Formats: sequence, structure tokens, C-alpha cells
Amino acid sequence: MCGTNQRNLYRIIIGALMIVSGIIGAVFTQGGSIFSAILLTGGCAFLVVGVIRHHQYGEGPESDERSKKIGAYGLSYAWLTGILFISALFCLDLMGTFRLGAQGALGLSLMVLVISAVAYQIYLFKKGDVE
Amino acid sequence: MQTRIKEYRSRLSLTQDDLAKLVGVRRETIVFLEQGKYNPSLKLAHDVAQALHTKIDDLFIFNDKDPEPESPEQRVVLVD
Repeated sequence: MCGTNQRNLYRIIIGALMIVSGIIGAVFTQGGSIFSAILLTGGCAFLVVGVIRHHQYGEGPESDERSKKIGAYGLSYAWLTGILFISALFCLDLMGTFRLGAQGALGLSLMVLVISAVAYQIYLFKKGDVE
Repeated sequence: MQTRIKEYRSRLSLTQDDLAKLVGVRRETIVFLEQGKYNPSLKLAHDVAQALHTKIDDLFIFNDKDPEPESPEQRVVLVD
């Protein structure tokens, strides 16, 4: 693990510890505890993210002024997209054209926010700058 | 905007990765800087210029707009 960014090292260690704890918990509760499943899932997520980021960035910085700028702009555009989407949902509901329950509306809005944030950031990263 | 970062970098036999590490940014940032597709902050421009042992003015070339046409009063006519 020489040359691994410290943050990634912590992610991998914490992920491994969580996986081990989850396995031990599952063995002792004979698979009956949901807490063990959460530990296992969370641990896998930490481990995978740590390994992927180490492979991608190595010792170099994970973020710099360009990535922070693009990240901020992408989130701003996603917020705007989300606001427009929620407004449209509201208008459609008001007119009686398209009605969703709270669960559906919240779920869809969440999806639009997340997908648009990722899409804008991918586009801006490929373009190089926000202008 | 055009840059001469690649030229100065080559003179010092630095890779993009080397320059990125010197300046504390990702390699992709150096790539887009060299292509003139990213406008750096003043601090980053200064750091890159320092790393390449040159000045900001030597590295970044801005294409100025065409000068405004002279008015008739401003024209100077030389008569022998």
C-alpha cells in the first residue's frame, strides 16, 4: 500500500473493518441481524471506493480548483433543473393532468436531481471549463 | 487564450504529471490548461509560471480584440 493517498488508505481500512464486523455479526446472529447486513454493505462500498480512487488518482490530489469549480457549477445547474422539474410537476398536479403520490414525486425529483448533477458534471469535465 | 506551457514544460523535461504534482493539481487540469480550454485562477497561473521558471505573461497569450477604427479628427496627416 506504499504510495497510497492517506484518505484512500483510511477508506480501505474502514471498509475492511466494517466487512469483518458484519461477517462476525452475521455469524453470531445466524444472519438474523439487519445491522450486520448494513455493516457488510457499507464496508464493501468504502472498500470499493477506496480501491477505485487509489487506482484513479494514486498519490495525486483527488480534487483541485478545476474539479471544485466544475463540481459547484454542476450542482448549481442540477438545482435549477430540479426546481424546473418540481415546478412542472406542481403545475401538472394543479391542472389535474398528471398526479403522483408523495413517494412518487419525491422519488422522481431525487432521480432528476442526482442524474442531472452527474450529467452536467460529466459534460463540464469533458469540456474542460465552465465557460 | 493560448498558452506556451507545453513549450516551457518540454524545455525543463517535465511531464504533465510532474508539472501537476509540482503545482498541486490533477494531470487533467494541466492537459486542459495546455489546450487553452481552462481559465486558471491567478494563483494557479502564478504557481505554474513559478514551476516553469517564467512569468505569467510569457505563458498565457490572450487574443486582444481588434482596435477600434480611428475617428477623422484622430488621423494625423503628414504633408511634405
